[in-house]
Amino acid sequence: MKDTKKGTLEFINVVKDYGTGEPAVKGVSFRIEDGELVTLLGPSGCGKTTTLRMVAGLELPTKGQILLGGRDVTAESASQRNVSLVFQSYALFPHLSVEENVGYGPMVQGMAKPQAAAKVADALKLIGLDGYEKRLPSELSGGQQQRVAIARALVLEPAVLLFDEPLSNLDTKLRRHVREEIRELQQRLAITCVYVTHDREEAMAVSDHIIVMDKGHIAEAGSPSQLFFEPRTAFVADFLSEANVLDATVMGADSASSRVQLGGTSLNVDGQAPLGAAKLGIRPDSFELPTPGDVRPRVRATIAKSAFVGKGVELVADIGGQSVFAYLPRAKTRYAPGTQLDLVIDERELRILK
Amino acid sequence: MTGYRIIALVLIAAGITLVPWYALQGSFFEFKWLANFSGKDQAPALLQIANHGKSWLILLPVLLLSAAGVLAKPVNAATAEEGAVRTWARMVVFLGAVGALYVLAQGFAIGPRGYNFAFLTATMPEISGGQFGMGAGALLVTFGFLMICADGIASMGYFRGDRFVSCALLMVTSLVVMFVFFPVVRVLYEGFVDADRNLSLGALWTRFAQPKLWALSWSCLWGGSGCGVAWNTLWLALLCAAGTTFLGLLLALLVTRSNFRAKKALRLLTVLPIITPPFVVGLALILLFGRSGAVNDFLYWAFDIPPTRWIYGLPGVLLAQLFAFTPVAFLVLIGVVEGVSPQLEEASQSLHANRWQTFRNVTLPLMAPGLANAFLVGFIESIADFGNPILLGGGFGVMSTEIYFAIVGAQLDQGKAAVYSLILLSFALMAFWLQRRATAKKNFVTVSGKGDTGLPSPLPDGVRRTAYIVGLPWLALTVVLYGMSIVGAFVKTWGRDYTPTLEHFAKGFSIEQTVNGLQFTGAAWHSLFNTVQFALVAAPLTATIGILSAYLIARTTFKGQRVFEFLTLLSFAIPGTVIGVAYIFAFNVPPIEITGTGLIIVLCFVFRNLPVGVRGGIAAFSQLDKSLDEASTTLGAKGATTFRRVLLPLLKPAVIGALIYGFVRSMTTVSAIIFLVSGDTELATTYILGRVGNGDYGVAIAYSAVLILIMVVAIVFVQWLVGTRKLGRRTTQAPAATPVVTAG
Repeated sequence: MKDTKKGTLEFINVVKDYGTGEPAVKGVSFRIEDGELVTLLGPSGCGKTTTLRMVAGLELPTKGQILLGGRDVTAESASQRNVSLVFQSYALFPHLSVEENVGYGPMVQGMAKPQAAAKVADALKLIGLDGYEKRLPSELSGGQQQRVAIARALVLEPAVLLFDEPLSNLDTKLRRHVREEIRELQQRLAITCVYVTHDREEAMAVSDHIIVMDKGHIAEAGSPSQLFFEPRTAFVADFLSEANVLDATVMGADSASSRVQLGGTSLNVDGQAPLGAAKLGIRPDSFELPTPGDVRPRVRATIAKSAFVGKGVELVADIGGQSVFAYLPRAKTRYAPGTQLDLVIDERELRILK
Repeated sequence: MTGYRIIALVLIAAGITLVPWYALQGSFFEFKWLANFSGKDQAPALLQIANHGKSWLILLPVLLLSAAGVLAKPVNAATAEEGAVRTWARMVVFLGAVGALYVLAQGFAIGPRGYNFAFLTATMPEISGGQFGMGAGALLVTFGFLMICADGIASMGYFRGDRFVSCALLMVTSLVVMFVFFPVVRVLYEGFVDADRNLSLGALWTRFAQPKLWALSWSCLWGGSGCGVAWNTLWLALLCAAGTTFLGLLLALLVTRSNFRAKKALRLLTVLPIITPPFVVGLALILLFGRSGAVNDFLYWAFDIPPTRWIYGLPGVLLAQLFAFTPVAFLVLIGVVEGVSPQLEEASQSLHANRWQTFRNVTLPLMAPGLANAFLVGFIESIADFGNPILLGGGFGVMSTEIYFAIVGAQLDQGKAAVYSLILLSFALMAFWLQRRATAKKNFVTVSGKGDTGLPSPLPDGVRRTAYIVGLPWLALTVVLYGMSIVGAFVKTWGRDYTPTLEHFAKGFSIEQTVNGLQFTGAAWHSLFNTVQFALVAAPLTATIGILSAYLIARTTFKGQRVFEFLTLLSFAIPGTVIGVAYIFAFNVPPIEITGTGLIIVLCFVFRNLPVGVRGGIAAFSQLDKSLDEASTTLGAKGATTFRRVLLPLLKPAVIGALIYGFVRSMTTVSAIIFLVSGDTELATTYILGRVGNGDYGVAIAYSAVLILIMVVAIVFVQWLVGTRKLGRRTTQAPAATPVVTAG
């Protein structure tokens, strides 16, 4: 077992049941190491926000244990936990100035005034808002408001900093910028962060690890590239990389790879799989237009729809009786419905899924 | 030991040792009791035990010492065994609950002549003497023990261990149970008690099954006599509800859906029923249509038509109620009409419906729940109205006036008053229930708040014409009526001598310079000072309890929350006369013996106006995003800090709304306090009614005008004093408490 530092967060079989039918979180276990940024990713209603709120102490688990820095904090309320949350809406107190907002935490904890003021000044400098002390939240732009929210959360030097969909209230242009800032700040302070989003690109861009959730369970967890290139479940393949999940048949297997029949084509896929029916994950960008002399396996595709999107052509085609979504970066024009063409498949990108 | 626990223990200790245990004859704040500290009536509990034989109080110091002992040794959660904290907390809950309940129980069990119940005399140790009503000491001790109980509940882990929440909940619940629920139950009990004070179903039935209540005859439909008062009340209420809803809708359409000019002035109309005592309209009607009213005088002079008494009876009462309560329906329905999304109407029109079809098939059905609500309010207002029926009813009796006569009249029949109150209460509750059922599945929220653009479609011609033809004369008459209540103050004798004069004001409000300085010699000063004083005390209490209740309902979750909400809103459905009767029954005898004091009037104000404070508070809380509370909590703030530092500043408009409303409604209440006032505690409204009874209209009208003036000044002053700070775009200003009125 790795050593447990202040910012290590552990969930052990945590269940949250509101008593309204299905539990929101159905037995979730994970461990986040000190100084990591981990994202909870999933579609709405998957339990990721409930999980985050349980970390914050805003919800108490129905069952299970939460450990923070190795200490059981399951029954501690939000005001007792050394955890801060940056809210989706920022939740800045509209009647307090920037300074008073950031100083709220030190104030309610009874910190001495000069000490609190120093902390506030430090926090505002950290996020580059010194000079805005006296403004009201309504006098700041959306991006600035969010930085105040982050400063307010950081000022108490929490063991874990939580973000609830922090980019959803910003316009598209700002998102990438703020995303980079958050990541940079996290690296600089080496603080444990838990980040909730439903945007897979955002998740992959900021995280050390991603926990993908589905219907109250953890579907899969891993590093961004691991989950993107080597998903183990159909849900993660579909959600993270929009992969096609196709019905195929495993014809044979040796120690390292399996022979899989897809329509009329035989493919060699990494990994062992039991013989018989299987699900095959193929990302849209694993298809290519054949070049002369290409010896890779080919499939026959009948175009149903296609669209030219500038960087290439997106198409929906019928391959061996199954509908497939593909993206051809080198194609330059769309295809008429009914067109038949051969596509090569990059076998290394294929995954047999659960 | 934490400050909270010290406060609780000090409260109890002070309650036992320092202040009089029993209620005093005079005022507590005159401090005359200090002079005779150990006297039989003034002594604190400890001396009562030692010197005056009140041996049953000995349990209190015992409980205090045990509580102090337990609280001094809290269990440390980190080091203790599992379950030890819980056991300790249970102990605290137990001690707190036993303490508070014991104060209550001994008060109910032991009266002036010893045990109140025979079975106690038989089983309990013998006691000498008895006791009268509980006083300041008992109050402090109860509060202290409740605080301890709340502490234990929070320590057990309920309410997320937040003592502020558990304490607020326990306090508010105790108060509401004591001053709303208990009095109502007491009325119920009184209805079952026969002449010999025995419980019997027969007693209830004899009082219930009376022709005076339930007789029926066709003639009552047009105001003839011969019907029971129960039918009278129902029929009047239905007519009033239908009329006010219809007129209110027309006015609301006029304001929101036409190019009617004086929209602002029309909205001012909505303030009228709030700042005028409910009987002002009745008074003005008498001045116009009464025997020596202006209209009758004119008819006699011009056409030789002899004056009749048609105004006294159903027509007069109905007319007065229509004038008085239409502004209330108007207020409700403006919101309803504005809530209908113009996009839906535009959609209807783009589907080739004409204006009338759109109005008939889209607009009206969307407004149905709102109309039902306005109807309900009109119904409740009508059955609760006391001032207008007493002025204009004549031979046409309704429940609220019959209850009054049963209590103050020669009959003095408590059982009858109780049963009548129960009937009136069940009318009100039935109306609420029916409205709930009728609109349960039809709650169309059409205000989406998002980009709901589009122009409201113009009214169909027929509807518009009706609105103008009915609405405008109605408005004109309303203005005349209210104007009359001002003008009447400045003429000598209405109906006979229209010489301008200030003598009515002089009679009521003269101030003379004497050797002792300024003397308020006017006849009305006494009641005016009383009224303002009680209203000033009641308003902050109403606001505090109201906002706290709203916080508990809107911002916390606990089992029984629905029941709690029902209790705090219950008094909204209770007609004022019923509350008054209930308070007499409940608080005329020990342990809480406060009839005839100012306290009972203040309590009556507070708990009668509470529902509006609660509703305003809930509305205001719903405008504040919950993440603000959560942000405060994650930053380490407890419930009390969050409430004080974050919620309260943001709720300022709602708090002010509740304050103003509490003050103004208290000033104009009639029905609830008509039984509760005594010579010492006479109020403005009862004084005015008395003047009217004596035919002294001049002073009555002058006084009404002064009241209205005071309230306008108060409202303007408070608004100016507080101002409003800009709070940025993400917090919509919470609206002030919605002034939905239940008639005084």
